[in-house]
Amino acid sequence: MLDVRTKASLVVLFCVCGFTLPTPIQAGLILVVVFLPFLTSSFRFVSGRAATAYRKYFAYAFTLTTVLILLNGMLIQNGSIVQLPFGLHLYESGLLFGLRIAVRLLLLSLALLIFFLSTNIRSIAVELQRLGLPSQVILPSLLAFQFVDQLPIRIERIFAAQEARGAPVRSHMLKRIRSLFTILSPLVLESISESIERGTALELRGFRGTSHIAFQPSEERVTHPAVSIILLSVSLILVLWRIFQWLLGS
Amino acid sequence: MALGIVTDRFSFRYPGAQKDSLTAISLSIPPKSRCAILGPTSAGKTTFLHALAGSLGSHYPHGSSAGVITIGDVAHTPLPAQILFPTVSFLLQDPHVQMSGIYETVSEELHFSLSNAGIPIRLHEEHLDWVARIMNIHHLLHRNTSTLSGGELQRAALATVLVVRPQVLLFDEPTTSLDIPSQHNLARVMRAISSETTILFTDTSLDLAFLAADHFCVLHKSSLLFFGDRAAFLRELERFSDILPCHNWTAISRSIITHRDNRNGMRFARLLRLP
Amino acid sequence: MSIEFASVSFAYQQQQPVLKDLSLELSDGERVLIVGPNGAGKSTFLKLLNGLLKPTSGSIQVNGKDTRHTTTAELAGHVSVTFQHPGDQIFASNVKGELAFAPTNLKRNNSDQLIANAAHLFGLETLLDKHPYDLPQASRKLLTVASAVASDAPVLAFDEPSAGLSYSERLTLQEALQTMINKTLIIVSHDFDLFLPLCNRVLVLSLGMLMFDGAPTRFIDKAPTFRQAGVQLPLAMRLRSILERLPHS
Repeated sequence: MLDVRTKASLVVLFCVCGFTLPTPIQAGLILVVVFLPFLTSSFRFVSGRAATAYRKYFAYAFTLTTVLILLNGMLIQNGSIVQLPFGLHLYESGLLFGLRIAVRLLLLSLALLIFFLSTNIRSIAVELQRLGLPSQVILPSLLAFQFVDQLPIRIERIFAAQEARGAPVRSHMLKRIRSLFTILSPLVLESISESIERGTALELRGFRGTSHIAFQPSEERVTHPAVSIILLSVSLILVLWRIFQWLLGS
Repeated sequence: MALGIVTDRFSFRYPGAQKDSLTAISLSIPPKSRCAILGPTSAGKTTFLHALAGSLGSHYPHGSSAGVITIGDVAHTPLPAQILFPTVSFLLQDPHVQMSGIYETVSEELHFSLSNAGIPIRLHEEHLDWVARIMNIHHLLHRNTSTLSGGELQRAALATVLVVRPQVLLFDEPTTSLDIPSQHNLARVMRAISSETTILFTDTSLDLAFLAADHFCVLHKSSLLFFGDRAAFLRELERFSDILPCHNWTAISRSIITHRDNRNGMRFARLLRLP
Repeated sequence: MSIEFASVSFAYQQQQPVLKDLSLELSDGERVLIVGPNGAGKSTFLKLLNGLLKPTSGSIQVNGKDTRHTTTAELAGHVSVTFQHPGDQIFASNVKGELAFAPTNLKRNNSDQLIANAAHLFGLETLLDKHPYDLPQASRKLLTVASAVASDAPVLAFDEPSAGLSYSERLTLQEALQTMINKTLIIVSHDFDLFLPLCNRVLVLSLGMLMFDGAPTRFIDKAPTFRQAGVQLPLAMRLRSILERLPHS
C-alpha cells in the first residue's frame, strides 16, 4: 500500500509525462490511470460518492474532449482536408493538434482526480504537516479539499430545490445550460456565507493562525522514501530532457 | 467556576450603521445562572452574545461602543477586544459550521477544542469522558462527523464548546432545528452544567426559556425592556405580547394564580419554579 | 387535486427502509401537519411527493400523474415543495427575481400578479429590489415560502417553514397561510403552536410508519401515547391543556 507522499509523487510523474512524452504514450498512460483504482488498493476510492464522481467525470470528459478536437479541426485550417458526410470537412493538422491537447488535459485531470478521490483529507493534512507547512497553509488547503468533497452533496441539494420550483435542471443540454446560473449562484452565495460562519466558529473555538493542528498518530504504513525519491527524480529527468531537446531545437 | 456578567450602559453601533445595535444595556447576570435572551429579529440578541464572547470587539474594532462589560472580575471597557475562549464558549446556530472540517471524528474535534484552549494533553481524556457523559455521546466519539444525523450533529457541536468546561457558555438560537424531546434534553444539559458554567441563550419561542432559564432578558430595537427572574417575568409577560409568543404562558400564568389554593395549581407553580 | 400514496415503501439503496407501506389520500383544500422524530421519514415523504425520489414499491399519484413516470419539473406545476435550507435555492440578485423564478419556469400567465400577491402576503413589498443576502436570515426563510406561494401550485408543501423565525415572522407566516383557503397545504414541522390551529389533519410518522392520521383535537388527546415514538407536545401546550381541565376551587 502506497502512502500519500508516494501517491503524490506518482501523480506528479503522470502530470510531467503529460508535458514531456509523445501523445501515443500519454494515451497509454491514460489507460493505466483509468484502471488504477482497480489495479491497486492504494488508489481505491475513499467512498461510494467518490466512485460516482469518477464515473460522472468520464461522461463530461468525453464530451469536452470531442468538442475540443472538432473545434481545433475546424479552426486550424492547415494541412490536408478530412472529408465528412454532408459536405462538411475538417483539417488534419487541427484535428491532430486538438487530439494532442485533449490527451494531455485528460491525463492531467484524471491523474489529479484519481489522487484526490482515493486519498482522504486527513491523510493529506498529516502529510502537509510532515512537510513542515504551517497551519496557515494547511487549514485553507483542508477547507478547500473539504469543500470539493462536499460539492456533490451541495449540488444535489440545490438541484432538488430548484427542480422543485420547476427549473429544468435535468432536461436536455440547452435547458441545462440555461439553468446553470440557478445552480452556480446558490452554490457560491451559500458557500461564501457558510465559510464566514465556519471561520467565526473556528475562532470562537480558539483557533488562530498560529494554532497547531494536531492529528492522532496514523496507522498508515509508510512506503520507503526511496520510492517517492525515484519517482520525483524520473519526473525531473523528463523535464530536463525536454528542456534540453527544446534548447537543441532552437 | 461559573462567572457573573455585568454590563453597565453598554452600547454598540456597527461601522457605517445608522443606528445602534445595542443601546445602554445594563444588567447583572449572577454566576451559575441560566439566562434566556428574548426578543424579535434584529433586537440585538446575537450582537449581545458576540460582544460577550469577544468576537464583536475582535471583528469590529472600529465600531463605536460605550459602557463596560465585566465578566467575572475582569472589566472590559467598553467590550472585550479579543475572543475569550475558553473562559467564554459560544455555540453558533448552525451545527454544521461548528465542525472544523479538518478532522474526521467527533473525538478529534473535541481534542482540537482542548488543544486550542491550552489544556494539557494528559487532561484531555478526563474532559472527553466528562462531556461524553453529560451529552450522552460515548457512542459517537469515533464516528465520522459527516455521517452524523441532525440530532447527533447538534449534540456533537455542543460538545465541542462544552468540552473545555467554560465559565460562561453562550448559545445562539439552539432550538432552531431541534425537536421537542431534544429541547428537553438540552434543558437537562443546561441544568446539569450550570453549577460550574453561567449560561446565556437566545430563544424565539419561550419553551426552552421556561424549561431551562432562571433569568430572563428581553431586548427590543436595541434596548433592554426587561431583566429579572422567572416570577417577575411571568408577572410582566403580557406587556411583551406584541413581540414574544406569550399567549400560552400568559394563560398558564393566570391559571396558576386562579388555582393557587388548589393542590394542582401549587404543583404547577413548583414545576415552573415560582415562589 | 388529489394525492394518493398506495402502499409506498422507500429505502436509500440497500439500507433500511425509510418509509414502510404507507397508504393515504389527501384531498383538495386539506391542511395537513406531518410530525415525527428526526429520521421518521418526513423529508423523504416530501421528496417522494414531488418525484425527486421514486418509491421502491407502491405508487404515488398526484392529480392522476404517477410520480414514477413524471419528472419533478413537470410535477412542480401541481406540487410545490420547499426545503429547509434557504441557501439551497436563493440565486437571484433581488427579491423580485427570486419570487419570479417559479412562475416563469411554470409559464404562469399572471406572473406579475402572483409575485405582487406573494410579496404582499409576506411583507416583502418594500424589499423587492434588495439582494436576498442583504436581508436577515429569517427574512430569507420567509422569501423561500413566498417563492413557493408565487408558483401558484395547488398543493404547497413545506419542510420546517417556521424554523429560525421570530414571533412576528411566525405570525406573518401563519396569517399568510391562513388566507390560502383554496390550496392544499402539507407542512412538516414540530412547531405545534403555530400549525396545529392552522391544520385540519395531523399525520404522525415514526420509523417510517404512519402511527396516527386524524384531527388535531384527537391528536392532542392522544399525544401522551406518542411520547415513546419521540413525538411530544410543547411544554406550554401540555401545561395549558392540563390547567384548563382543573376544577375551579
